[in-house]
Amino acid sequence: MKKIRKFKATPDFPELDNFAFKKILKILQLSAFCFILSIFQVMASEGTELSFDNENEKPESISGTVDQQKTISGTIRDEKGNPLPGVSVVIKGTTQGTSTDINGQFSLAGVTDDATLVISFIGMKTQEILIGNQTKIDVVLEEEAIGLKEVVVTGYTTRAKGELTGSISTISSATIEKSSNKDLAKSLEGRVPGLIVNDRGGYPGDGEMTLLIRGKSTLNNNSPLVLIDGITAGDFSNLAPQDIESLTVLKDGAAAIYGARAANGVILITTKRGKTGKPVFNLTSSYALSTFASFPKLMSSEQHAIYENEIADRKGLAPRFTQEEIDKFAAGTDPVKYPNTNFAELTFADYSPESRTSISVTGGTDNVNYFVSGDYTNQKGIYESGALGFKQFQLRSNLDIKLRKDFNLGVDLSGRFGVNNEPGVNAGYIYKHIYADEPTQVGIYPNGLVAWGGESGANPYIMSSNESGFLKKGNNDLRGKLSFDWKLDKLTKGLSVNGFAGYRRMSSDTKSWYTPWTYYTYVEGTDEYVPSTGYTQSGPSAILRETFWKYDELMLNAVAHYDRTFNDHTIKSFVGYEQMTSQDHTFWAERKDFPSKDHPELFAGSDEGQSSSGTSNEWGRVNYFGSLSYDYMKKYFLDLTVRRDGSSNFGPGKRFGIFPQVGVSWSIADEPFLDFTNNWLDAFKIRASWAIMGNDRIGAFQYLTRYNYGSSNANAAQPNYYIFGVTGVKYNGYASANVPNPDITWETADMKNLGVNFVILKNKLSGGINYFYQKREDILITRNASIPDAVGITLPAENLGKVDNYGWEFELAWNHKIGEVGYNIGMNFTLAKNEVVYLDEAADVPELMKREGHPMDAYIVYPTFGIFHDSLQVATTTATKPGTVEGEPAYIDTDGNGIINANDRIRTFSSNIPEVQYGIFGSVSYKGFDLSFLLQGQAKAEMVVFFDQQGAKPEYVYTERWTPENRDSRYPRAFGLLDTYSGAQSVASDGNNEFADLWLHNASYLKLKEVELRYTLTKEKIKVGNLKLFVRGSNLFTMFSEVNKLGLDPEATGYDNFRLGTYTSLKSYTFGLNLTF
Amino acid sequence: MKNIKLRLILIVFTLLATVSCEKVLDTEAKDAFAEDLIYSDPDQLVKLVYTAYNSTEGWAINRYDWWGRRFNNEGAAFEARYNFKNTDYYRIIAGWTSSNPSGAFKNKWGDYWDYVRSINEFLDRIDDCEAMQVNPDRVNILKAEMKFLRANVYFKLISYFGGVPIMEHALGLKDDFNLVRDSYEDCVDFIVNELDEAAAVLPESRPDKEFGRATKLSALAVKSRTLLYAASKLHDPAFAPSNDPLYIYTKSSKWQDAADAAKAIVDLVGARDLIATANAKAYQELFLKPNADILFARPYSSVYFEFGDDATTLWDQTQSPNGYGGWGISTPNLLFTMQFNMADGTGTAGASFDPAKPNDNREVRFYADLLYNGAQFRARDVQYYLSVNPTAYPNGLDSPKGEGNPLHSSATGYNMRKFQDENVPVAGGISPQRPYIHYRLAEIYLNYAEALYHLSDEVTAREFLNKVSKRALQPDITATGTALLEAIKRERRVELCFEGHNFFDERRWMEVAHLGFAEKGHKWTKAADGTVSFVEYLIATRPWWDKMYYLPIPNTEVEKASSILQNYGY
Repeated sequence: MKKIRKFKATPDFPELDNFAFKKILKILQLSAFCFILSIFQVMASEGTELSFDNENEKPESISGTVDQQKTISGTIRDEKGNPLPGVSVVIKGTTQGTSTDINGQFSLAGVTDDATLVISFIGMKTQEILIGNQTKIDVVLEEEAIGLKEVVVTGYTTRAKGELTGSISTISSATIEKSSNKDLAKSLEGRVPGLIVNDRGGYPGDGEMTLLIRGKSTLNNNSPLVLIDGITAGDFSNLAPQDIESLTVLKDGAAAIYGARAANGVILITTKRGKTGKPVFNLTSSYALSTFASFPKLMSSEQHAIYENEIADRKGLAPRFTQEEIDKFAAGTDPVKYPNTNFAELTFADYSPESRTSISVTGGTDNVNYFVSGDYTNQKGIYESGALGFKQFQLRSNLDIKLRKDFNLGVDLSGRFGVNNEPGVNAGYIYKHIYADEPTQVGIYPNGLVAWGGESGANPYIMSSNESGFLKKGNNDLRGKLSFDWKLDKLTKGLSVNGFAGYRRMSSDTKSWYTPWTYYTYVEGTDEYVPSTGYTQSGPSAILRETFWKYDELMLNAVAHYDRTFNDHTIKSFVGYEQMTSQDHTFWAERKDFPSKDHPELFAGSDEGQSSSGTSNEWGRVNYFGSLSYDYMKKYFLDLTVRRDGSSNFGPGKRFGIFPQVGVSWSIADEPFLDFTNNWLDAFKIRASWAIMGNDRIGAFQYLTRYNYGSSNANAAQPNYYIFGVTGVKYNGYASANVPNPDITWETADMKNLGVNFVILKNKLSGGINYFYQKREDILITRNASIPDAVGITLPAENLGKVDNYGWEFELAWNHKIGEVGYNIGMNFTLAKNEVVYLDEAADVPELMKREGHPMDAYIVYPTFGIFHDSLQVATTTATKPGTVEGEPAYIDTDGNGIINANDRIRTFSSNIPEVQYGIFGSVSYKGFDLSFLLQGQAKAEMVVFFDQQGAKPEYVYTERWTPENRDSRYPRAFGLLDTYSGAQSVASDGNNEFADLWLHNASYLKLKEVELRYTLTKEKIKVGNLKLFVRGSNLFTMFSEVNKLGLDPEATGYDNFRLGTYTSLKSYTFGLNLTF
Repeated sequence: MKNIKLRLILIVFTLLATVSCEKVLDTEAKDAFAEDLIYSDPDQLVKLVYTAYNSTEGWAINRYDWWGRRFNNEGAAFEARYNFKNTDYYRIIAGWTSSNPSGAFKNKWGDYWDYVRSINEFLDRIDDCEAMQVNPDRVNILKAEMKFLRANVYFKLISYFGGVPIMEHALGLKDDFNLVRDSYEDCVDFIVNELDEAAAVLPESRPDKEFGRATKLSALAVKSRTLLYAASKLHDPAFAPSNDPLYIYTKSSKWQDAADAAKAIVDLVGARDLIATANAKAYQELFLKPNADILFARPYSSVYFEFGDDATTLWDQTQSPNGYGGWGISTPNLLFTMQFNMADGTGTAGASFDPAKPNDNREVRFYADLLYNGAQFRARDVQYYLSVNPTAYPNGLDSPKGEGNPLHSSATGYNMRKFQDENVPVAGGISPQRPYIHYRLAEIYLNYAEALYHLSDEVTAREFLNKVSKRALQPDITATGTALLEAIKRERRVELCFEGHNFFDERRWMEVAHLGFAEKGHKWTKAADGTVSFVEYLIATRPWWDKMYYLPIPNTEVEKASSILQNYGY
């Protein structure tokens, strides 16, 4: 899979070259084409003749000249009397209008007495007011049935929430802005039913997480399609929260309009746009302190020494440490010879700071609306040295220009410029030595000199500083979008055409400077500290590598819409065309042996051993799509969409597919026979949808016979080069890339969804339930599991696998106000299970090991009945591993053949992808105070927690181990690396270790993810504007977690030693303010 | 009205014609080359051959494994033990199982087959390809090289696993994968035939810049070793641990065949003497750059490490004692060092051996191949001793309290010196021309001697044994009968040590005492008066099971195709 790498780019904005201009011309052609198509559609649906006679048509703006024009002004408030900014005030039947300012006031010129004002605002009942002779109009808007009229962004269009047939969740900008998480995607955890998020680590600038919509349903890429303003995005972790107007998650057939990419669900992000009125400034500034949400207490040097001796004793080897030495470790009086070092504590700081400042201004005149913003983030990583950090600057300008009354032009520009700073040694190597260096080694001598630490002087304290060099990576992500919206009511009422040309350029520029460092060794006798050079696997000479990556993408889109209401019948429809082309390109060069550490420039390196390489790729995509939505009396809704998608990932003849969707819903509460419920049932709807969608995220060109040349990856076990000659010269060679599969095509998902929504008790209680069932077929898998290695074939992916994914979501919210105290509480709950229906398996795989019927990521374990309490129990057990002694896992002889071996393995029904995830949230407000919280939890997940590396292990490994004094232990006796009895028993085909089941731990937890206290000072009090002060805590504590009790993070993917769980998720405290003026 | 409609339809079609954007789907695979380009041109074709040369061994036993990149099979042989954290990295103490295949050996099965297939793919296409018409002479040599490489891989496979499926064609997706293991004997026949074909075409010698590419001598060398192994006790139906055709070799002419195969090379080189060495240093240097005795080797250069950009994968780093910053991963077993004779040609059981000074008066190869306490290495003496009084005399630099990583301090009191290039730094140093030797003339002479012994031609056997022994400045060997066989075996252990032979030799000789044995070492101490002494001690006991004559076939493989039989005992 050629992954589109996370954001990277050039510092200058992409110029629209000739090529791009041609594309823009083309798009105009296209829109004309679509426009004509829609005309045909109109002719077909209306059965009327198309007339191009313009004589009878008069521009509406000219009509009514006889009427007296005047200016209307007023204030719009909510029921509590608070002024409402941003309320839309429009003259009915025209596009003439404005919106209220920060004080809820508006002013609208050129209004006639017979005009009607339409006043609308999200979450409020729309009001229409006939002007008559009024010049000042004050309006109080009532809240409406929770969000049913709220406008929701869906694929290529928008709908009122109450009219949806599919399962769609939205998050408002208010919620998003409340999150203090530096990573926007992670802040969605627990907030959206159906969205399963796990925060897998807090490394700055690196969105380590799992983000799934309704769980996993394929062995391949499970990540949802992310679109920002209609243009693809790799992820959205680093977006500025304040720029986001809404975030929509399309979970079922509602995503089908995105065809071959929709099967994993779609996340649509819409950025804010300008609103007519005086400029409104918004400034947010916050400062946060973060630390690890959990980090275990580690074994002391004394405990480590005892543990090591027990391991040696079990193996019949001489003890590593004498009792005298152990006593000295315990005493701690000789830190030079008998230290007690915690390398994690040395390497990591207690807290790391982060600051974020955002400013935006929005406003507009009759002809131009604007939203302009800037955002600056500065995060420090938790290395004591401060060498780790991430800085990012973002700019956005969204302009809407009304060129004519019926023609709007949008110009959106945004740029994101990030800089990652890291030490010269990569994180993986630093982590490795945090856990592999022994506590019995000196970290830093009492005189401040850095000690050896571990292999070749790999002391994580110094490796995590700039003594080891630096890595500086500049990421640029530039987006430009030119869009138009052409209302063609003139031709036929309800017709419009819109489209855009979107251009993305990302690039990254990485300078990686590795320098060996100096460490000291104390020599007993002479009492000297002898300096030596420390180095990693890169060796003892300096290495400079510069890498450049660039990605370009052009997206063209044209859609013709026809929306119209005929009495009780409403039609919303569109047809469209979209195409996308993209290329990427990388280049790097490297030199070694620099004369000095302070000149990290390529020219200064040695010619010998210099190397460089590069790659490039291109992709193409063509899509046709259409949609028809119909409703009768807003009671019965029908949605039909269809998309024809073509992708360059597949061979000729296999490129295009058709993806249909049908959705229906019925608003039962509006039926006369339910009139008796009118005093308590505000809304009640049943929805159903069905769709076929695709997943095309695979490596390109698997249909071709291809030969790779040379080694772009130097570290290949079977490289494509060889050295010949007495003096040794490298010759590049070819290697067959894979056996081609000309039939390769996308995976298909057959998705069904059944849902119910309700609002009762005068809008106090709302909720919804969805049931979904997805059958994923044609999953691209390689037949590695069934074709013997002896065939030696490099297999292509084939459309073979079948997986079912099903479950339900549930959400409930209660909203109420008692006197001046407003409060709300809500929860959401998702259960998503996947079950393998067919995956390639070896012919003779034992029944208990079969994948069918199990979740895809189920563990393979060696079942045990605990730990052998005593030798008697070992002696009386029929089947044990030969040589087992008391205190070791008691393996179950599953197949009853008297031997414990791989045939006793079983496949579990659990994985580290939680089947259940839920969130509970609420808030209380009183006068200016607002307190809110979010609890998030998961259940039905298991993770491996296992430590055998000789080095730093959590203290519980020592205290909870089996000893003759602690025979009822959860864990076995002391054991080391590659232990036959307690250690990993085999290695799975994916390279993961397989263990005794006792190393699986329940990964359930409930976390307090977010608490915020906010105090608002209104403009009336402080004159300047509205000021909000807030203090927030994130990821504060974890409850009901077996793993957390061990000091570990239940949200990590697992602990096979600290390999994947060194830089775990963070907890943070944030202070900040928000000023609107 | 009608006109307008017509005009519209016309416009629609014109637009459709100009729009046809579906050509954006015709992207180009920029990162790869097409098959017809390669097979039309001998200059391109040779690049497929280059890649296939990676099927040969190098310093690493397993490039897929982090540790496996740093040593070869010597630690699983009689020669040495894995010396880090007391880890059973080869799983020779726990015993191999089919589910946890054999530690560092775990990729042996899959790794070789990848090359078998890519070579087969080449051989399937080569005869009818355009390149063959363009330059048949050149392409036929490429074909012979590929056949040589495939035979070499098959020889590795049968040595590790016994009989394996013989596949002469690359299987495709639609083929039947119920592979059946062929008998050991059929595999040997296949290998020998292929090598004969290759030897008939390959050039007798190559220019310097083609050092490392197969020659006629390379092909004959593989044939010689294959037939010697096949003739050995392990495959003799009377002794074989399992009498299945997967493991036995029944030809009555087996020793004659082995002798003839060796003799073919002996004749080609005119039975010349090996390159003379004046002393241990000269002997040590035989392994640091190409020389005339090398029949087939994997060249290295001054730029590349054993594995990618990992500077810690060459043996200077991985095998030097800890005090030099090395990792001393494979420490020679005390019992194995006893195989090295005394300078006067007597053994360590004889009168010349002083048990109090075990490292004195030994043969030159002892000093060329081993590091011991007090050995001069890289401008200082090797120091394994711990001091009784560190304030007066510091602990030895290479001791468990010395410099570098003390966990790498040699438990046996020995480290490897063979292959170490003392002119380059331990850390990150790259010996500029040091090859990894697969086949050299000394081995062929020993193959010849062993085969002739079994044909009862002791005179010629001794002649060729002495060619090897005398080059190492040992006196004439005059032994006869079983003593001669023992002398041949001893010579082979010492002359070919750490070159990947012993693991197989002890197995094919079925020398159980060298397969399961006490791993002993010397523990050195510096006394209060500054004198240095040692005690011999038992480190661990290496057990032995008959099943470990062969590696297990990974159980996943047997599950995939039940027709692939598991080896006995697993």
